[in-house]
Amino acid sequence: MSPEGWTLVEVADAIRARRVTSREIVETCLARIGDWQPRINAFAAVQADSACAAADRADAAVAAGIPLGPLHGVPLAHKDMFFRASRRSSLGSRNPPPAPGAVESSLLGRLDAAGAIEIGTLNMCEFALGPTGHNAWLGDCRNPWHTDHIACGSSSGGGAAIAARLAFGSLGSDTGGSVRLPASACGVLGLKPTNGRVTLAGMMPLSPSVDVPGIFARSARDVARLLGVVAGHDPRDPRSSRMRVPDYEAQLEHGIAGLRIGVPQSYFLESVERDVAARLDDSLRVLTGLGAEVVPVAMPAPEHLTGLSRVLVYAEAAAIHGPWLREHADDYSPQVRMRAATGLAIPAAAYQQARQLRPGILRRFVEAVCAKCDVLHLPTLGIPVPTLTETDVGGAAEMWEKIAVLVRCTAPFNYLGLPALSVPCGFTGNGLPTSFQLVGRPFAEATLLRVAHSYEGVTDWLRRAPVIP
Amino acid sequence: MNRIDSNSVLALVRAQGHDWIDEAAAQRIAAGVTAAVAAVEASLRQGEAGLLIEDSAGFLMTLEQLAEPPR
Repeated sequence: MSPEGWTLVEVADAIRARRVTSREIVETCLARIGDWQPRINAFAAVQADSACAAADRADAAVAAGIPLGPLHGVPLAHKDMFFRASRRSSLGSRNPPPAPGAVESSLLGRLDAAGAIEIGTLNMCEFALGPTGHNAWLGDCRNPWHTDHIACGSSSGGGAAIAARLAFGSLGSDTGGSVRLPASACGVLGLKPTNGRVTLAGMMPLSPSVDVPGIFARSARDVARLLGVVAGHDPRDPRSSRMRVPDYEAQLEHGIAGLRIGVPQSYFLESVERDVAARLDDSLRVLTGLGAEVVPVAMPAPEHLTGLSRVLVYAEAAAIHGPWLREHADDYSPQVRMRAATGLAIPAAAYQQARQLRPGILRRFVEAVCAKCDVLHLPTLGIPVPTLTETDVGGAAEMWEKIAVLVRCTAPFNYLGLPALSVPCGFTGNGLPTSFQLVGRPFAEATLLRVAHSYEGVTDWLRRAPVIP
Repeated sequence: MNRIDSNSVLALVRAQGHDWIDEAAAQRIAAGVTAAVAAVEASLRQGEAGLLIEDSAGFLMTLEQLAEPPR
């Protein structure tokens, strides 16, 4: 197999063992970016020169026998909203406001320290406000499996770039499904960790009480490797948890015999289209074959969770964008400026109530669901991936309805703060990938990854790659 | 539940200096706000009547208390 077919961990191992150089891997990615970028527009900017220079330094370190980090020499690319002091992030905007001072993302610092190489920055929805991948300023990001279709968003470039093998892993952000949706649409793994598991310091805020950095990769082991590097308390972020970070990779091989997989009895499976439902059923049969037990699960009032999340997200987004939006409204696209302004009209009491209700609703949800099962299994996106045209509604009246369909199964878990992982499980009739979503109790990322790793071992969905026609 | 109408939205956003929002945009915003606030109201009705005194700052602590035990 050629290097572009390797996973992140396989590449890291090969560089360490001197079977390949970091320079060769970076050049392989740059060649693929040259082929794919005109078709899918996954990158906001490609950093070829600095990536090659970093690869040469990485290779010199290997030759010198210097201790190597777990991502040594591996090219990654991230949503263009993780700040570096040396550059101005686009944030998907025509006119991004300057970041205050010389802000540096803690996550990029952790990845640098682990030896990763940044090969470029990735396309995203304007200010991370949009689930489709449309972007009027950077150009729409397109789905590598079929370029008439959306990559989903808002971390659109992450899903598209990892699926097309343009980099080996990626960070995005997930405030309503913005990692899980593009992961599902593009056929890769997408993890939204527990709120507080990963630091927010130096990442563009959309809604700080809901935002979570997330991970794209092409194997559960790759996600585990990346999460092990980026997770953990950050003195720069008081919202980050001091809970111990487990060895995620070490737990992958424990299997899922006896694990209880819960299938929701309401809301999440309503209005799921037949194609998607069939793939979900197939995946449950596979998991059962691996020794898991499927159990029906009732849950308290899931239908309100998306609305509660909206109150937090829009109020906080309006607070953040208010001053810039007031002076630069014409620099926002119609849908984004309207959504950013929605919080200006949310009553302060409703915002505070949504915050105060959150711990109690979380407690009741976890107590009701986790008494019955170890993980939930539900759709990530209940419909086949739509086309760019079908979802290009701008700020029209149907905007809310279109958005609601896309985030129906993802946004509830942003309000609850629970970890969720999107796992590819086949293709729908239109030739686009579809996925199931695993949701666990707080800080249960290792369990979700264990299920995905077991599933991955007996299916080949993650080894399939889109090809240029 | 009553809708939050576009006139109310216009009054609120203009009081905050957002003169770019027109009647059509205010209607869209009103629809979004109405749906979101309805979710809060519905959730409040599911609880017991009384003072809402839960400390919202305790969300991370709640996540940690409910965490999966280490293997």
